[in-house]
Amino acid sequence: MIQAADVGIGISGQEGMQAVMASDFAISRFKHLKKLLLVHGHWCYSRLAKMVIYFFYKNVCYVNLLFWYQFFCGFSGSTMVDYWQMIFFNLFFTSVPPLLFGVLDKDVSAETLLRLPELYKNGQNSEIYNLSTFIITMLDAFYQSLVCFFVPYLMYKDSDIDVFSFGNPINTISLLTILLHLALETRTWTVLQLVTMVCSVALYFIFSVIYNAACLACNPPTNPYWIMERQLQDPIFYLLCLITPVIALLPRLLISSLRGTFGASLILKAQQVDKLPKEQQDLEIQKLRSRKETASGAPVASPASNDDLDQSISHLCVSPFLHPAAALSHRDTEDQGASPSDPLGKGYYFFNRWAEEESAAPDSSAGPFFGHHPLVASRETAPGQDGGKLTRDYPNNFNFGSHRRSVSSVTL
Amino acid sequence: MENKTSFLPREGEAQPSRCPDNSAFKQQRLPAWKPQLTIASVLSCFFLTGAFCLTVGVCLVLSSNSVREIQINYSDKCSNCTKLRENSSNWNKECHCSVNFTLKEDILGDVFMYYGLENFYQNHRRYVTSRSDAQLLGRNVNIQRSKCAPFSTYRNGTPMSPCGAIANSIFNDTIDLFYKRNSSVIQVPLLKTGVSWWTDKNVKFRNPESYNLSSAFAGTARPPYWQKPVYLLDEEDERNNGFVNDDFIVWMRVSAFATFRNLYRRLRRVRHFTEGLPAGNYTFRIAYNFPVTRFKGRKHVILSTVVWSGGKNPFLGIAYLVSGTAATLAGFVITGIHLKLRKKKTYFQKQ
Repeated sequence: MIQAADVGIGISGQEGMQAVMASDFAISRFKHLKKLLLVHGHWCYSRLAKMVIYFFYKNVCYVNLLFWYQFFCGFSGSTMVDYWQMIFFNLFFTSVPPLLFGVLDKDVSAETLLRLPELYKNGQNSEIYNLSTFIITMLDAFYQSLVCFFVPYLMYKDSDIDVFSFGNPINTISLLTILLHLALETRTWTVLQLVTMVCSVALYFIFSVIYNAACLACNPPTNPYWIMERQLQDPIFYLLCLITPVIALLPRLLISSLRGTFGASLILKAQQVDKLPKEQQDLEIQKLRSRKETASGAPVASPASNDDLDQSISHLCVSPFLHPAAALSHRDTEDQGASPSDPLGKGYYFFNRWAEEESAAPDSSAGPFFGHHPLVASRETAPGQDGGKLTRDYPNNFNFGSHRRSVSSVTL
Repeated sequence: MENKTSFLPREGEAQPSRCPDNSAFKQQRLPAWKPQLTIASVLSCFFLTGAFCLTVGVCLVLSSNSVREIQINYSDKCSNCTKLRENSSNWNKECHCSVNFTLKEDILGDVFMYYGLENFYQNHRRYVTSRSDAQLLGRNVNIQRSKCAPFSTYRNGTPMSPCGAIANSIFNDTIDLFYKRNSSVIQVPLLKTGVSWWTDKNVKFRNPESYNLSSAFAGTARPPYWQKPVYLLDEEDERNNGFVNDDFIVWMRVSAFATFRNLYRRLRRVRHFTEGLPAGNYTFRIAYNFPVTRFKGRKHVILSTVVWSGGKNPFLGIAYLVSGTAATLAGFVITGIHLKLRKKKTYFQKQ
């Protein structure tokens, strides 16, 4: 009797609904488990982790602005931003875009996730939200708040600016920086996300203009009467709002571009595969999987001879942005270890068995997933020793899969 | 991906489907755009940004360099007045001070005179909240409920008008400018009005309604540090008297930093000064009233022209120039990398 698990998934079936009633998620067919895990599990983790990290970053960045001002107001606790604009910053102007990001963003497409089950390890190893990414995000938040405060400060110091006219561009700049930061993180843009982002900025300006025109004595001591309107007539305000988010986001942009170009993590490669046209995606995925297996030592079916591989590589070298890793890859698929006893191999065989079942099942979808199970296809078609080796070892390693068809609830 | 099939209905019964809707939003099939970074878009982005930033940076630096500014620290130069004001019992003794300076070249255009204070924290939290905007709107309010304490009422109950620490500590030096022309000294004509925001003077600050100004403020008293009541701030101009006095409004707009300047007077371009300030010898005659030694502050008087980009601060121009250079450089680096990797591809194909 399974006593503890991370998540319980129940399959409703002819044996009854008991498992479904006791589980966290319910599905109706065993084969749906694959998509639930590989696609939705991964998306859920990546969205949630990125959203939580973003919320930490957003609040640290905004509140630090108030902190930096303390150095210039004698540490008396004076805030240069109007109270209501500060409250609504978190309540209305920067709340909806991250929520939509956490609901809709897909960092890797569903097809790629299904074809590369190794990507599931991204969630198991907490690669998105761990101590190092948290610390890096905090440092980034400190840096961005430094820029968002000190660029206007250096611009306005020794001038005749007043407290709340100084706080207004800082507030605007930090709003733009924070929303642009989210824009940099968003990998798939739906119309909804674009509209909410534009509307958040528009709502901020509309609210500020109306509030600053209506409040004469409603909110002492700020009573920001006509401050925003006056700033909107000043070209320096616009120039500041243009340059400061750029300076603030430059390191993050630089590091993600460098990582995207030179990075070696599987997620990045999968994202690059997503960008390729359909025909090249299958080749790339086969290459990635065989490379992974070589690294882990499991036996692999060589998908093609070396000449074909080089040709496919050269076809893929369209641009360094799309696939620089391909330009440098020169892999030897002939030397492979044959030790099946490793975690990746175990999971690999599990899915291999499942893939075989699914391809044998009558209702397997053949349409868009013709390249879905490259290993199955190549096992049948690849000549030579390696294919045979796999077939031979296959029943021996079947024990590691250890799933029984009749079990109606699966726990992970 | 096929939809999750619903539970098969039993014989005769029409089970309601428990499937979620087959809408694009609920099935996560919303059409989405994935930004594709092609070489053309990236390079054009970098080079356009670089060009724009460099252009704007050059304009800003040129305009800030065209600002003429003269700044004179007179609290150091007027040391005997400074020492006199250290003792607050000398409050009713006048002290005048003269500071000379020379303009080598004409200053053309509109010239503005500022007074500058150093180390005066107008942005302290309790100082900033110590005001009553409702009173300054001319409304009849109960000052006890405002945050003006301890500058709200006297012991005998008379309310202060205007109340609060900001109004109480108003800058009360008087600065006049004299020009030495052909062995005669003439006073440079300066305008007192037009130094505050139009919305402040006409909307945010209003005198209480009454048939004349002194009766409007009947029943109130001046703040303790003031020497004149508020309705005598400018007896020559009724529109600059009372709460709507420009100097008072400018002071009430508290500055963001400890070292700041406030607009004091504008050059009136008449007679010899139609083009601006001609070159020559000038003298500031200052009635020194505002004590600064208690808080180790300094006082300056500043003459400056203004441009669309603010004052004599080249920072934004330099920031734009640096960003533009960085963007252009990054564009060249990316072009280099791209060309290098493109050659590598042909190398591959030949193999």
